[in-house]
Amino acid sequence: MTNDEIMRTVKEYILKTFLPGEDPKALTESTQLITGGVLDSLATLELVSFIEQQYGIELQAHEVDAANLGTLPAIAALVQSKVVART
Amino acid sequence: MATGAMVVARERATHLLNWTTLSRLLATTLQLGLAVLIVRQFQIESRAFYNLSLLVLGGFVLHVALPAVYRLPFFALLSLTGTLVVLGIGNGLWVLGLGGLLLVLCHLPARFGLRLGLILGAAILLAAFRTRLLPSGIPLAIWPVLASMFMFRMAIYLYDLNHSEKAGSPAQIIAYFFMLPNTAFPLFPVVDYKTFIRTYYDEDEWQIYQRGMQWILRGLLHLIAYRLVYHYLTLDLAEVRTGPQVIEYIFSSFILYLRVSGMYHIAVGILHLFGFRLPETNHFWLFCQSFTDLWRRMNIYFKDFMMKLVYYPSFFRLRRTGNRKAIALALVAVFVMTWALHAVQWFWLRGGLLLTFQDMLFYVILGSLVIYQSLKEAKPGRRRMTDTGQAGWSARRSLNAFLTMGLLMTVWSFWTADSVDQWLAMWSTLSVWPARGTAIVAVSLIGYLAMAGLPWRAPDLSARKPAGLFRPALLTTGALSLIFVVGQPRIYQRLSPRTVAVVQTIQENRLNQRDNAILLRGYYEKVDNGNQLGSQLWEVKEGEPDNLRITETAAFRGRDDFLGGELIPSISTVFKEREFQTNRWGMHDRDYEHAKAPGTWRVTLLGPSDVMGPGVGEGETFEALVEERLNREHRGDRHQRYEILNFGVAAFTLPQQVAMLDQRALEFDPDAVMITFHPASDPPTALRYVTGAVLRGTEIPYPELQGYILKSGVTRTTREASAKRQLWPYANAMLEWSFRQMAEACRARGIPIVLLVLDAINEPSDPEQPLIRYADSLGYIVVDLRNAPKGHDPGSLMLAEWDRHPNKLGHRLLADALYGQLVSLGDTLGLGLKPTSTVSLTNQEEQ
Repeated sequence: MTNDEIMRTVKEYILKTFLPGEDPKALTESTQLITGGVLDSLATLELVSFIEQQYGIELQAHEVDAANLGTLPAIAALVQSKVVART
Repeated sequence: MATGAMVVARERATHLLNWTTLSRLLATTLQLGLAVLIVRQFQIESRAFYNLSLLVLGGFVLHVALPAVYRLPFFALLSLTGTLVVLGIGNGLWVLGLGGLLLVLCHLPARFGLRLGLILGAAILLAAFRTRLLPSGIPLAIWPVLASMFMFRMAIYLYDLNHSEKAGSPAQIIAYFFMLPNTAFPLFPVVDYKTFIRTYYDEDEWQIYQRGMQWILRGLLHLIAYRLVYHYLTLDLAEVRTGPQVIEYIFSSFILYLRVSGMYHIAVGILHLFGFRLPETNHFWLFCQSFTDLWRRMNIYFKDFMMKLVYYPSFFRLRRTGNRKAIALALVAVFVMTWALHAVQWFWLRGGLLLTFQDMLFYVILGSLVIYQSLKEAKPGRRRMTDTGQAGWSARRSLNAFLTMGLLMTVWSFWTADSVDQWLAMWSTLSVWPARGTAIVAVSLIGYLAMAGLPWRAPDLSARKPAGLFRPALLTTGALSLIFVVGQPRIYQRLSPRTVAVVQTIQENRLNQRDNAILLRGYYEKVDNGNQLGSQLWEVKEGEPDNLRITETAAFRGRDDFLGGELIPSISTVFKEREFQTNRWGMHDRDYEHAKAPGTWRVTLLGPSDVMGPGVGEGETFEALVEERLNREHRGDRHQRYEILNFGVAAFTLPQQVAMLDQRALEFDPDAVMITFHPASDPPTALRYVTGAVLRGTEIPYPELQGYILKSGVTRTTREASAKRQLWPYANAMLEWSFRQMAEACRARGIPIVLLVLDAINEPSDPEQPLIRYADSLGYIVVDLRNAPKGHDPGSLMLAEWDRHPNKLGHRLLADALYGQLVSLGDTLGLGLKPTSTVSLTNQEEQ
């Protein structure tokens, strides 16, 4: 599982769940998901649930912030680090 | 051989000398320079903020010139310098010292739990110092600044320290805790440590600077708009008489938030100028679509703080019970903590506990609304309330915003009301809708609905690319230039007198009539103005000592009759940090014989505190100075001696002056009587006194005054808020009665009566106050002393910022003015003064 694959899966989920009708090209790797207003607190928790179920990992409360979930590459890096730690 | 540092410096110099970079630097510096001029021109916030803004201007240019590696240490150093510059060396060192100690505790080589315990111990010790349970010598002025730097930020920092592998660098930590703009803003956004570090120069530097300037401009506009609202829209609850005024009261009590919003924008804007690309705060908060949207848009920094420290940890702990239940419980925890933290913040800033029914109910209502809407939004397939799905104007969006903001403003007006009783009584006026007020409300509402229907939410993803620099820079420079030009007296004085008055008012950093009245009321009774941490009045009252009122000293005793109280004869005590002595007749004056000696011209002077002279010595009151001068320069003109007997008692209202004249002053066989009238404050204080007298069951020995009370329907059992409202229509009539009563008493004795017209310092009143004309028609000799302080800085004439009574210099100016008027009155008062050299007391002092 590569970072690109994680980003693609998460991007699809975000577009479908939180940005219906949005142009997929507009959601880029530099799009700020939390500070840019795409993910509010409820949406962030939904995304956390999705990631945990999708990749079989568990996130901690202190990991739920813009540094870890603020962009698609940050999410991919967090997932990778958790997956590596699990194995 | 060139060192690494020299190479870096040379590279930066080469970069700066590039035309593009130079033009950007000049454009940003020009905008910042204009902003600093506006801060000075409009007296934005405080003198401390102007000093800070000069430091920001100089610091910004130097900072940009530095290579990137030196910028953060430079900012940290500048922040420490700012603390010393704004607070002064003494207070600044206290803040740096205590802050430094807390930071040392954070980084002791011990396990986290122990460090946390030590910091909690230190906080308890500081709390004991704050409440003066333990003596410490820590100046009162440092607490708000120290609290705003450490209370929330320490919690965030410890949380991050606990979940991070390494601590930040010293420069990062100093920059975070002592960040430059903080010292001038005790209410400061709760900046997140990780965000502070993560967003540092994470975008093109010129884009960050330009955004900072845009936010500074927005903050200045908010603060100027705040002044307009503060001076022209705010109402006291007791003044609300009609439906439109209810709307005005509710709207204005909320819209004062512009001040907090303005301060936050400026603070975050300044941080942008040093590379910290922090999130936008208070984003179009007047157009929130729901209570969850409100929570996301208004104080975003505090929301993020609560999410990080309370909401997410609570949710993760509870989520095994089900997501919806966990969300609801986590939000309950958030609002309980918000209420508790507000109370703790109040403690550090004001030194007392805030445990009021209003405060608790406000958070219960707000929390319930947010929880309800969050659970609604948390349903599967939910549609977020921030998104109405339409690009253009939308009726649904408009209605959502109206309902949300209407409800919020109503709850907010309850929260910030001085009295729950008065707030409830206000609603009884909703039946009265005068045509003009109704039309204004209707037009304002239509305007709001038109605006609220527009898509004010964050723009679409495609529109979130960074804008170019030229257009925003041009627009910001244009807007700043326009404000600066319009604020020039040479420009605005060409406009109508009304506009000139408005511009002059918003250019001054002073209290409005309502807050002045509350400040004045504070001299009469204990007043704690609601829950408004950001209110200007609170900042003024911050340094107020405990024994502000004469009624709380040994020099005063209450009475059961209509006089209400008196100064105790022959007493010596300390009042307002000065010795306060009374003579054997209970006057704050030198001693006099009861019987007037032959050849003596005697006047009895009645009035409230500025006559009594709190905070100045017995020989330093204006009447004592005039008396001394008359005896020095005019002994033997017609009279051998001149006596001005000071019957002034702090907080005495005009109806009490009537009683004082009847019961005391006339006994002393005066040749003239002087009473004092304060056009701005006498109507409400007289109303308050008479209301209190009725509710206390005091016998009122004046049939005409009894008649007004009877007509109003107020009895001893009426609730205070209703009593004030019912008596209000008779307030003017009661003052006119006071004037008539005293004029008749003097006429019966064949002695002249003088009306001294005075203003509290820095609280100008209407020059054409109708009651002055009324007194003139009754035969009063009107001596208007309101211009006496003209040409002087008001701050130099009053005892303290929280105490508008005249100090020594203020009394000298009043004495000069009164003496001048007595001379110009010729023989009207039977004084018979011969012309003399008229060197003023103030000039004598200056010489």
